[in-house]
Amino acid sequence: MIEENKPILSVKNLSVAFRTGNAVVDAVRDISFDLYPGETLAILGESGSGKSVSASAIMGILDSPPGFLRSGKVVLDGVDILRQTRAERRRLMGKSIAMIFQDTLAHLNPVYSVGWQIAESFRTHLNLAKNEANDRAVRLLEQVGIPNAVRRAGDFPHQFSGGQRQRVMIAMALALEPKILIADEPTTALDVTVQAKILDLLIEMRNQRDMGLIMITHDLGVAAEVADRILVMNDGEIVEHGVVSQIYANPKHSYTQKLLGAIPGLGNYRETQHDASKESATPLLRVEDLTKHYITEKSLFSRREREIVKACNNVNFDLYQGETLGIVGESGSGKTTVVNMLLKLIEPTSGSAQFKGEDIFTMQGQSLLNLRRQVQAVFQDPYASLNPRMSVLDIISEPWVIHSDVVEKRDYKDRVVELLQNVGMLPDHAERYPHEFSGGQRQRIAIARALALQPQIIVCDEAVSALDVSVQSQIIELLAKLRDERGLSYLFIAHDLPVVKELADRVIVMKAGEIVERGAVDKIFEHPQHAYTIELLAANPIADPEQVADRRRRRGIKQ
Amino acid sequence: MRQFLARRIFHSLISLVGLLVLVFFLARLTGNPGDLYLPLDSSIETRQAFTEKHGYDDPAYIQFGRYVRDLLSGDMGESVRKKRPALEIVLEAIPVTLMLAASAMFLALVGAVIVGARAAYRPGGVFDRVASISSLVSASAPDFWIAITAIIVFSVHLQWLPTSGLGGPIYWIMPVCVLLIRPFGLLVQVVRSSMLTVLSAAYIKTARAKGVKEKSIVFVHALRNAMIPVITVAGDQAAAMANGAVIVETIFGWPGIGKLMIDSIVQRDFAVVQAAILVTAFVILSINIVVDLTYAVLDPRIRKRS
Amino acid sequence: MTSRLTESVAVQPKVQRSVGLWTMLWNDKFAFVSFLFLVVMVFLAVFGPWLLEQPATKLNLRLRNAPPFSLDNGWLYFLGADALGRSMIARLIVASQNTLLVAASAVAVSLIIGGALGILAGYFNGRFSTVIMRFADIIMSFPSLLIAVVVLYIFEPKVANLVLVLSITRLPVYMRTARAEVLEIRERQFIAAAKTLGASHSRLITRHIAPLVVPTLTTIATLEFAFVMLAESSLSFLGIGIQPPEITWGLMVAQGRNYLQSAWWLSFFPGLMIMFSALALNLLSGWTRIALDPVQRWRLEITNQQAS
Repeated sequence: MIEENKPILSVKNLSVAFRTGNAVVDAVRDISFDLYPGETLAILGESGSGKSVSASAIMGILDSPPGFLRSGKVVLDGVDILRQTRAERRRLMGKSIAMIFQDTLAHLNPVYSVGWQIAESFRTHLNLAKNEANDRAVRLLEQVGIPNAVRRAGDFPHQFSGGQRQRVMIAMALALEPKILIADEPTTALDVTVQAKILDLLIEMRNQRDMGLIMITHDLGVAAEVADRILVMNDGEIVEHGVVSQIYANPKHSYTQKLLGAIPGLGNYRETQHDASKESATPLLRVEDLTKHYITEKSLFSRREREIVKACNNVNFDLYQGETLGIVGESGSGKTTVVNMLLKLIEPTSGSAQFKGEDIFTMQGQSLLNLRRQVQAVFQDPYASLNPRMSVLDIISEPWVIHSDVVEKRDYKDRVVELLQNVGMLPDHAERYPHEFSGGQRQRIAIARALALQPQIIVCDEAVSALDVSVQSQIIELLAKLRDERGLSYLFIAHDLPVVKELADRVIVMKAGEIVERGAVDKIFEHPQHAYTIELLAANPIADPEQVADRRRRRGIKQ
Repeated sequence: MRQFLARRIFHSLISLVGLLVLVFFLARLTGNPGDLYLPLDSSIETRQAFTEKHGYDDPAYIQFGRYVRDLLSGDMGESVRKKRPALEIVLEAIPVTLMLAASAMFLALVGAVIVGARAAYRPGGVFDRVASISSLVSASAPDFWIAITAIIVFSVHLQWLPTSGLGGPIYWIMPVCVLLIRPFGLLVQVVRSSMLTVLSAAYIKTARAKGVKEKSIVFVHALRNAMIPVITVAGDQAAAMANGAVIVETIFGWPGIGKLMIDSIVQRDFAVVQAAILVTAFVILSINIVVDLTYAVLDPRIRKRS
Repeated sequence: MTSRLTESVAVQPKVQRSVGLWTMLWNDKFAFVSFLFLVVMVFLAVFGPWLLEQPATKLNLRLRNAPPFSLDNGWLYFLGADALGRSMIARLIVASQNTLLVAASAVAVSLIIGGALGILAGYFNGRFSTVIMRFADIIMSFPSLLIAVVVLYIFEPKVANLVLVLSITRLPVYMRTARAEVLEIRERQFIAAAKTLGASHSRLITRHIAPLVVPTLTTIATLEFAFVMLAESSLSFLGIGIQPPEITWGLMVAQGRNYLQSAWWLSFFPGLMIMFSALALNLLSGWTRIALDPVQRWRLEITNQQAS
């Protein structure tokens, strides 16, 4: 059916390059594709694959310099828009072809109301009067599901939640009924439950308007969920191209196969799951009624009353030797608050946590140092968790400088090399600085640092969330290997369920500061009890096109 | 909004009180106030009478209480030279300075926005290079030297402009130009770098993707965001105009507060110096509040926060 | 699952050729010239007075107000002579010592004290921080020149007092910048990571926070050097800075003012020296800001690529 139509957009042999430092780097190499009305084309790739750069080039919003077009054509309505004058091009932007972005807070102008920003399209392209333009903006906000649209139109971007801001962006992009909508990772920063709703909205809007939708994403689940056809990009090139069912069922290119193989949550549960009978033994870590309340300060000049924000309320759990406990929750669930209290980065309001029977919250001086030695952490952002001014050698040996009785100074070098090899890095990496490494490599360095003191517990706070899927699976595998070799216990924090599936023995699901469900990992995945756990599992896009319709029905969406 | 303003006014009051304490203790605790307030050649009897009259032998806290009480009733002491209330003398001088500073600031700001925005639009271009270098030169120029060089050139040699004094528009040209030269140079640089940052912001891409006209991208979308750091620097510069006014008024013989202060220092008329400081501080704190209000008008995030 | 681990583990790090600072300085011609100028100035300020003490003070009535640009009286008189027939060149060089010394000491004092206070205020962001910042507000809410004028009126205009008052009035600049930077840095994850290793406050401050704040403070100090030099010159010009027989460039401009009509060079050249020095510092500061910022460094490296 699709093939009968004429394409609304044809990209032919597009190449884009960047000047960096001393070299010219090709970001996009000779890509070609067509887009048909009413279809969704997903461009799938990991970071650095050139997927977003291609979109910027099509939209004419490439950062230039340092980026520039090498060659190619982008044909819209029979015209190559890359050869158009700026004024001609400008008239098409927003009207025939529109775009939405990932980081909505940065992509909406902070100093103008959202109503004004939507109405601007009408004023610019249709020369509508202010009132008329504003009325239509309000109607658009209603269409994309913003409640109280009349009042909210006067609000500013920072006053909306992430999901609502994406709805605003969609309203803005759809203002002039464009034939083509490019969505650049529109749901990446959102919680899975919100992501599901935004994807549904996009599909609904596409169907209403018979638009062509280009969905740029790194997430195989999202692509399976929305796309008709998929382009797989790697290193600036299209490596595979096909209908969605064929790509997932029968990937041809090795890169696509690798990507599909790396999807979290496809593997089996941990083979030697932690034995529940051991629970009679004393736990390594026992957390009882852990609570953190924030009280908003009452200002001298404010009439507002003090409010109590319950970041974390009566959290209980045990962690046993050699066990991995997954803590899963979306933003605002309180999972990071729990971690920060256990790492003694913030003070709890009440409750206790005992490490081998000793209360960690009363620890001071030497006993605190002993605790630090036993409990280590790996953080989310591998770009931020290593000091940019320290070499890898300094970073990994820092624990020994602080705990000076562990390793002799003259042995630092040898031990660092040993640790680097343990985490799959090379000995000569010790002399380099963090900015010379990729995200996955930095996370390996962070893991090496956490291992340096030979701790019993490692807290992984979203340790794989910021990584590409293929890297993510490698890090999870490394963590599993180290755990089995060294008998480590993990407290593994994640914002969605699939990443904990292969690693965890038990899982805790948190929502709004409370634990809503807990149990063995297979029980949580196979027989979830709590409504929220079920919602979380249903919202998670699964990279299997066959199941999409079924899952969508479960979420109550009409096709 | 009201809350924001209340907080800022409260902070300004703290600053003012801090300054009062500072001036008071500098004046009282560094020796006999008679040495500060009276001419150097006063007799011992005069000094003795002065000390007793003003109670300078009382404990410091009683003196401070009296000092604050006097201030609140508008009494800042009497000029020993002119035998008139110091506050009156200062209030006569301040309009001249305000007019001078306001004209210079207005021209500097408007000029800097135009030049800086244009330079940032095409970074590395000819206009940008010329603007960058000349703004650096103008920010590096010592104003007193520019003033006397200008007098040599325009008054002495070319005889186009009067050397000093207060009169018609022609008397304003040199003082205003000298006063604006450094703020202008600094502001061009701030506008330029702020515009550069803002023009590469994500929301500018969104505007381009919407098909917004370039003119509107620069002057509607970018400029308002870019103005926030510019207003901060402009506020500081407006306060620093008092620095420049001292120089300019002394050289061009303008009866403003800067010249008054230097003259009073030379004549050792401390009551006037002190009144001038407090009045200037009051003006500067008012400017700061106006700057804060401007932030709130420009940026809704500041308006709604706390 | 096991197969995934083996591949792409030993990926080579991204090759990042870092261009040396000297090459980058050479590439930016304005910054390079500024740097040379300042090096020469510092050299003259250190050794000049020792060599030129005699010609700078020797009266020579025959050469009173001798005009510049003539080599008839020797190179020392190329920029003319003052009302007492003293060589302008010698006096400019002797004056450079005081001018640069006052500015350098004031900048050093406020950089060290202001930087340290700002870092502490940012790190222990509590009541201490509030008090420190209010103090900075009070200083900032009043023009530096006026504070200096008053303080130098009450105390003696000695060099030490001049340095002290100039450094106190500029403290807030360092305090605010350092505090703002620290507030941002202390929220970064590597600080949390160091805390979980058991790092002490002093280790966090000296090893993790200070090294990231210092480049910014250095850039500001360069800029401030120019500002303080101009402020000192203004004070000397007004007659409440350094007192004769000591000389600074600002004082020379003031002294030459009486001879504006007959001998313009007396105040023109010292003013020019002030401007050139301030300009050189401003240019160099702009360069360091880019050179020390890894995000912006490519701007300077690109010039290198085009040049080679």
